[in-house]
Amino acid sequence: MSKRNIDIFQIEELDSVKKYLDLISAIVVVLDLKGNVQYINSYGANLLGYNVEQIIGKNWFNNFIPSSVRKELKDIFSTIIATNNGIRKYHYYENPVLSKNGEEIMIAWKNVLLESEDGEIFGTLSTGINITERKILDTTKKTFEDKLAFLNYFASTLNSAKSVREVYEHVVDGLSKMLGFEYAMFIAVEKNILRIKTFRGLKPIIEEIPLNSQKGLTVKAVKTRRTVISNDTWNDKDYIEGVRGVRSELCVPVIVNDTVYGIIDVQSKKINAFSEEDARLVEILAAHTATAISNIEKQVSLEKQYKQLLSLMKFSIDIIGISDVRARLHKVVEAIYNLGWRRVVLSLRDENLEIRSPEDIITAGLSEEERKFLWEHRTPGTLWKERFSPIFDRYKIGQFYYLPYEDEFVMDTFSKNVLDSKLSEEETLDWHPQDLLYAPLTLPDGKIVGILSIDDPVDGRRPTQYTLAPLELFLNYAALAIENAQLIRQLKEAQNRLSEYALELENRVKERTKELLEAQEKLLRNERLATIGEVAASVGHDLRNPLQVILYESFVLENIVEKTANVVDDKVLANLKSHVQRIKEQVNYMNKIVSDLQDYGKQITIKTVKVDLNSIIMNILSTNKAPEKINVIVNIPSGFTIDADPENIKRVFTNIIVNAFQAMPEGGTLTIYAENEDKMTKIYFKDTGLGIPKENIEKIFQPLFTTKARGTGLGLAVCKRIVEAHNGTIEVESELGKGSTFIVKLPVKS
Amino acid sequence: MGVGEKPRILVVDDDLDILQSLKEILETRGYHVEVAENAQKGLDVARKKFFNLAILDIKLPDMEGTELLAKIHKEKPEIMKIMLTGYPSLENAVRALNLGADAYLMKPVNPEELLKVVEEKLKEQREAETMTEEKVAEWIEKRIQKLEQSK
Repeated sequence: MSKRNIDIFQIEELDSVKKYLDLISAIVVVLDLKGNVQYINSYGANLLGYNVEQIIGKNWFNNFIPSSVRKELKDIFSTIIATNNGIRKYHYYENPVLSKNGEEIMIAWKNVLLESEDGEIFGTLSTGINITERKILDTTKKTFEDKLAFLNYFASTLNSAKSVREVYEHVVDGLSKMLGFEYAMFIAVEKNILRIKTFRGLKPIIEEIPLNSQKGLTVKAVKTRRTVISNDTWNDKDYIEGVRGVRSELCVPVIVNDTVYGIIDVQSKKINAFSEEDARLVEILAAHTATAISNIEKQVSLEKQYKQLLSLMKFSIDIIGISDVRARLHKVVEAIYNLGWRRVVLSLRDENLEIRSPEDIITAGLSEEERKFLWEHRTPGTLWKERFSPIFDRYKIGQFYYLPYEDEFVMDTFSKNVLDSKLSEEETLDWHPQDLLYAPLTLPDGKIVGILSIDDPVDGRRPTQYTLAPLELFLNYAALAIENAQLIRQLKEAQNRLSEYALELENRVKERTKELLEAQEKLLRNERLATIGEVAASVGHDLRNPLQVILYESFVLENIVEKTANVVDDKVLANLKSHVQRIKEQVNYMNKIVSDLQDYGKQITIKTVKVDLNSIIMNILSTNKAPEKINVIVNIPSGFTIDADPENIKRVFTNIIVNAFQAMPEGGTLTIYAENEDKMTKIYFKDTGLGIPKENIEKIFQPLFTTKARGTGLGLAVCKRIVEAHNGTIEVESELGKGSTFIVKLPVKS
Repeated sequence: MGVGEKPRILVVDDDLDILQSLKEILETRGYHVEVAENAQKGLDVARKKFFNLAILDIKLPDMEGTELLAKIHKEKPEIMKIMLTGYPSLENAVRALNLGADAYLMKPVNPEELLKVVEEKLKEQREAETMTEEKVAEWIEKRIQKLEQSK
């Protein structure tokens, strides 16, 4: 726009248009960069009461501008020539000029910059029209309807404002320029005071008035929520002088969302300046203002929500990479902190709502000292239980409990907050530093696993369901995180238990397998033994008859030998007899083997009775005399009894004793003694014989094992069977060359 | 029993070699011997002929030696009976004696011992026969005394 104007007023073309410019009824002035007049048309010169020649070359501001606005206009001129922004801002401007006879004439200017072809600014061209008369008409003669029409139009201007600050400026501009009020200001309600935000006209001598002040028309307007008019301020008891020399004041409250947001205040140095019509106009403006502010606040709130959404999204992204529950909860408190709370404390609680360790207190905005303080002065779980009880239901906002300090119950129940508030007095609006705001972290089953408590809202305002809603999201998330952590822990524990169990199972399987193998081996051995038993029994029986025949035949042979005594040589006879005798001996020995075999094959049945051990041993020793050089010591207390089958146990002891005798061919000592221990009777047979080589110890109880040339290898095997049939054991301890000890253990029957 | 008449012995055993050897031994000692290789034959012979003594094996193919013993004892209580058993056990011995055996010997039995027992039992039998009348009188006398005592 300004560029095109420059094209029109190219300096070379000026001369050709001068005549035309002289004809129009508008003032046209060209200034150089120093503010000296390069050109003025004759209309302009006439208006000022000079000739054109008298004005050209003179400084415009020093000579033709009233001193009251001279500096202001010089500054504006500097701005205009400095930047394109300047010309944009001051493209239209109204200011008075000074005529030759000292009269001020109000001119409405349109200004453009003069630029050379290479873009250099070399001056300004301003066209102005005399608006002195219109101005007067505007302020005095404009009808109420005109002003109403203006206000309707002005509403859209207000609504186009981007900030509350802009609204204030529009309001005071509208009041002073369009509605013609001399002095106008916008006063905002801030917590406990009324603060002047902007003004037009004279500068006020005070900036703020306390809301609890007894006087003050603005205060009255806030309290009554109604328009206050004073048309004779000096005689008004409520008036406080805010602007020097004011005689009339009109105060209209701006009510946003049912709360007095501020006051539109117009003043005049004239007495009785304001009519009812003025009051109605300002009230309409106040209504438009309230709408505009409400819209801006909604927008701010929308932006805040947008920020919260962004924060939530960031939080969600952050949280994905974190598995540790405390680290996750830390993200939660950070997110809440970023939503505008200077202190956030989240504590993990056990079933009694107690905190178990300092690590379970997760905070944002707290120093290490404060965290320590919190841990050392932690509120007991019982108190927290009370705080979630129905008594506190009336303080509930969603999942949160908001306890305003001014509440009588709260004031009675709670001591002053333990930590100092992070908010300065000025930062708090309706939030009190002692206010409490907390919420339980609840699992779906209703179990409380933690507590969130937040403090020091950045906006200084009390929480509402609306402002707490996004926090609830985090609250639920935190509870879920804790639940998940618990589940994960339980899962891990279960996994551990499972792997432990698996290990145990494996061990058990190993153990069982081993037992099974042993059992199998035992079974095989037993089967083998059983087979041996059966074979032994049948072999035993089958051998008896041939043995019998040999015996009979050797008897017959002996008789024949006897009968031939007189026909054969004595020597030959003796030889024959000795041969027959040896046959008989071998038959006897074979007979013993057959008996052993049949013993082994026999089913052993046990009938235990109390048997005197001494008498059994003595009986055995009387029928099996100890060979010479062998000393037998029996060291058994008299009356010592064992629970055993007498016949069978006698065979066992006989076998062991005879074996011991055979083990001491060079002589020695057999010591027999006994003791009771742990419901077992132990009978020891200790010899000082040859001993048993280590490799044979395991085998000596196996059937058919023998080291003797004349052994059946069944004696000890039978002993073992008999002892085991008593539910006892037979063991041997032996050292080669020193002797062996056989230990028979039998259970003692109660 | 007439003078000069050999004592008659029945041997029952399923082992033919044993029967042969024992028959020879016993005959050498002047006994009349008859043999049977199973219980039924033994029983049949015992029923037809007179015997002073029977030597029975406890294990026979067709019945238990003890069963044969019981049958002979029932039909011919006067025959002296000697049981031969392969496996020594108290139970067997008691059972045999209860069933009427007069002696109980274990296989393999020493022939001298067997002959000694055979002689003893035959002597017992002879004594029992000669003293029967005296004994009956004595027995009756004892019974009367006991009865009087119990009154």
